[in-house]
Amino acid sequence: MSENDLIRNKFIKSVEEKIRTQDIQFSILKLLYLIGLGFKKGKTHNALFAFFDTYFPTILFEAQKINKLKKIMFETKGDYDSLRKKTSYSLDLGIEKKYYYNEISSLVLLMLENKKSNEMLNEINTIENELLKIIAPNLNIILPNEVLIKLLIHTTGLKRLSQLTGSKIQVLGAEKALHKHKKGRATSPKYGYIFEVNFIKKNKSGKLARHFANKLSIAAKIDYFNKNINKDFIDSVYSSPMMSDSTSPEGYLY
Amino acid sequence: MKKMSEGIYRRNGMIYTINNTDKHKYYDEDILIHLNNYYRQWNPYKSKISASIKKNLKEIPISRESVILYLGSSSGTTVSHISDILTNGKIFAVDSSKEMMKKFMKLAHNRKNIFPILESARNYKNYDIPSDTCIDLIIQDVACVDQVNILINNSDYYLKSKGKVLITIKTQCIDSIKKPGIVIEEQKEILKGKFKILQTLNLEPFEKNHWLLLIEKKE
Repeated sequence: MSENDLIRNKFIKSVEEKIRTQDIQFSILKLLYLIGLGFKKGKTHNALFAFFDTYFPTILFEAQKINKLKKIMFETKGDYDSLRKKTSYSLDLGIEKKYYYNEISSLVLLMLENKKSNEMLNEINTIENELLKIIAPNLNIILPNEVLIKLLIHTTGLKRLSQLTGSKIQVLGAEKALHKHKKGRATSPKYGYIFEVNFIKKNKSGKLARHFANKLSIAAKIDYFNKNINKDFIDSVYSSPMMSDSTSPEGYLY
Repeated sequence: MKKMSEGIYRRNGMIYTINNTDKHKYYDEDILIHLNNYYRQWNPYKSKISASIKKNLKEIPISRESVILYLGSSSGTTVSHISDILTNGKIFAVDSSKEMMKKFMKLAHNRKNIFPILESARNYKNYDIPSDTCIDLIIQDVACVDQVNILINNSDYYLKSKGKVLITIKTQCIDSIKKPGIVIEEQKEILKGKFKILQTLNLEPFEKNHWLLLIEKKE
């Protein structure tokens, strides 16, 4: 190997490492959400694309068509080592960091065979819980999982979510109503994805939703800069006079 | 085949470069076989450098041995053609997007003169380019408001004196209300402090509201 090649390999390795470690937890979270949709509605294409995109992006570029990807998946039965051999170059995850690979590959195979069971859905929920505790610990306490995942996917990650204001977070997911309002055909929307939080659904109050969304935007900023649970902040959310009637007996807002 | 400059050929109004690797195609370009050489067609509708050559660029500052810093490499259609031209040179390709870099790595593994860098062009000190390399040419294709300032920072840090720069400017990205002709004059005046402007080109039939400047760094 010449000196030029050695330097070049150094550049390539550093780029590959950055691609691997950048937001890997978030991309797995998105993948799990898509697999869940595949189980519920039978739309498997997006989940299969996302699976190869997170673990074997090179196979995705070479195969491209959905039938080829399905064929590869059934031939290898989702085995990590045999899939690695199929690529001309690799973005491998290493021996130690397989990032839930075995669990997820078995889930994808079951999804393609249309075998639905409650155990599978439970397994998805447990992995989602573990990931959300790492990604956004403070938001995880305030919000139910489904709503938090939808917010994160809509904004392509925690970084973008932390840059948004409360008033924007309040109407995320209600774009159709918002544009109708901007053209002057309807009143302004009060809630988007947040509507699925229990106490807002019960009260149907725009004022409450606005207050709650403001708290969310603060929580997102705390999560982005500091990954620890901030007890003072969470107490302030629970103890605020507007929310005090809405807490459940266990102490959680939702 | 008619030779235009080193490594660039013309036939029937189309521009070609010779492929040096085993894999003949990178994207869905046309290929022409002539005297046992694989000529890859350089489409002016896909690459702004090719469009500028079609619009009579005064001089093409790419030689066989030049070292190039390419800002905004994206998926690498233009970079693949420039890598064809450089037989003894190097090209450092910078891009900030993770998704684009995934596609670009396919190219970077096949060709021995491409050095990929996943970094924003604003953080120009983090490239880790070896200190003894001297950069002859900067090509910039990033569409953002402060792209001229980004270029000035990069050229101060890396470019040699009297080195050339090819910069493409999308006027709609800088100011969408003013007329494109006025915007380009404003950008030129910022550049005039550090650069000497050799040529300005409007890439009109190939790209709408895009301009290309050929400039030279002052001593």
